[in-house]
Amino acid sequence: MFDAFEIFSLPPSYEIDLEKLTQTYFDLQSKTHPDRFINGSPRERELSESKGADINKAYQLLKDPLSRAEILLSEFKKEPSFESLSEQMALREELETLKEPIQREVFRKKVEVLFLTKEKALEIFFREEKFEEAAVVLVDLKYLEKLREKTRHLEEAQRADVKVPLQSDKKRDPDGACAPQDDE
Amino acid sequence: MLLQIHEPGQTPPPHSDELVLGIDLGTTNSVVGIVRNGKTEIIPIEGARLTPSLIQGQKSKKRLMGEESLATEISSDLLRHLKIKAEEYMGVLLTKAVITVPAYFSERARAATREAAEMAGLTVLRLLNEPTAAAIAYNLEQGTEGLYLVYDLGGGTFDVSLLRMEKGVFQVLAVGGDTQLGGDDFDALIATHLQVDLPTATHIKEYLSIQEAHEKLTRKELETLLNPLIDKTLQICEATLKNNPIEKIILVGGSTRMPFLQEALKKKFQKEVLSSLNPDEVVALGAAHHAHALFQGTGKLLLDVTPFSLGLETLGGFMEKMIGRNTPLPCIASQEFTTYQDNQKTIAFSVFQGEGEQVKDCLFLGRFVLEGIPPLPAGKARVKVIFTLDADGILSVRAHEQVTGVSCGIQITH
Repeated sequence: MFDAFEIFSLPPSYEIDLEKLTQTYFDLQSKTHPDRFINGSPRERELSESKGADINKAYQLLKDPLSRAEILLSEFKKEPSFESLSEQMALREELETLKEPIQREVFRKKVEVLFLTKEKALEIFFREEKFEEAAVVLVDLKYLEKLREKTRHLEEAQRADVKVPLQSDKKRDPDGACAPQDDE
Repeated sequence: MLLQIHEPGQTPPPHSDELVLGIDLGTTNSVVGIVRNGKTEIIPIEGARLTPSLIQGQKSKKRLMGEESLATEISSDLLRHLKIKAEEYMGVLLTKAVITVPAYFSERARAATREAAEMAGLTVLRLLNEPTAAAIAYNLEQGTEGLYLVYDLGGGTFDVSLLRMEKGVFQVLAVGGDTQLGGDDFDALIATHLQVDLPTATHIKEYLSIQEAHEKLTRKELETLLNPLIDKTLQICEATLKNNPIEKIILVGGSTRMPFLQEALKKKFQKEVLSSLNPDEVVALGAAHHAHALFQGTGKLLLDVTPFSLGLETLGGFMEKMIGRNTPLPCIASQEFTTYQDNQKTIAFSVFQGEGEQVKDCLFLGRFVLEGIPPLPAGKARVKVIFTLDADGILSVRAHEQVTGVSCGIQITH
């Protein structure tokens, strides 16, 4: 079973020393990366590819506060509340009405502030071991993260003068399981 | 622990005095480097430090065929030529190499390059991204440390890399680029503007990097003419950089010799530019150093990333991303998929690369069909798909049906 905290020999905790995490990451990869087995047997190289991939994955998961929280809160899965759904919808509608780059800029900053506020709340809930509450905030944060990404994408596309369609998230079910096209 | 292996450096290379090559396989020129007696040097090929990658006539074909076909059809012959001429110069057999590719090279182009090298009788120790190779050379020469942006404007491609250099570690944080933008486009623009042929345009461009004016064009006029293209590269830099505080900008590629390009970069980012190493040779020097270090087991730890997102087509033509861009290599990602019809027996998987939300905006890489799915109601079958991206950035994809255990997959080739 893949356990990101265990790969880094860390106790499962939301609070993490990023500098130290990165240093451990380099230490682990120094011993494992496929570059170290250029003259190794095919089996050694195969193992170093898969172990190196595990270390990369664990590092990516641990350094990001949201994915770190998600690992820790796996037993507290929450559906978004009615209020947070309405908030999400309002934000999304607002984004779709924005035309001018300056409006998007303002919107992006607003989302940024919302995100940081909720991230702070998440940190506090973890410190006080209020995992149910933390799980609720995490749902909002994940949505805001997507929105932030979307806004950035739109801004980039605008700079590059390319049209990007807005609606697209509807097609997936919440688990991300989807049905690729049948061949018959 | 899964892995029980020696400490790095404990496995001595089989023939530690064997020499290994660093080859900058460019779209316009190729350069071969080697480490000999502790010194990194360029091997002249038939007396020339730069070897044209395409002979006349192939040049016009390049854009038509696209990068993948270019890589296979021509690279193998070229690599064989470089290998033989380098062997003649060095007087020993040379069978192993680190080969550089543009950081923004597609999956297929990478696979094609590795295959072409094998056809030419070269074992590829590693495919190395060009900007990373250049950073290695600068680190070696000047002890550069901290966060750097590498601006690499070659003959046919533009690459930018954001990377962190520390004691013993090179960590690439992000890459960006355009595989259809390079010095050749500048030449074409000049040729059209002045109604001259391409060699003349190239000559005028290079002349204006040294002199203020040519009888047909001044440096100022050239700047105005090329400004839209330069501006495009600056925008790509900005998107890759994302407000990270860099130390300096490393310049790679012959086109970075243009004085106003250097000025534009300094003005935009308010940072010093590094150009003391020959921009045509710096990639080969870095590649040669890395090849030697890898083979001796003494190399710095080099952590590179994948330039594009990789994923599968899902119902409705959408792109389901399995691996995001700028994910560190090597990388393994898996996800479960299911059927959408009752008693569906097969699933076809189409693999794409790119950032679009729909596959029509992405690049098709390959397709395979998983057969023998047991008859089940729609949505009940569980098929696990695994994407494996190795340290060279080459992708293989496998699908496993969880009940019967049937599986199949592909490795992306050209």
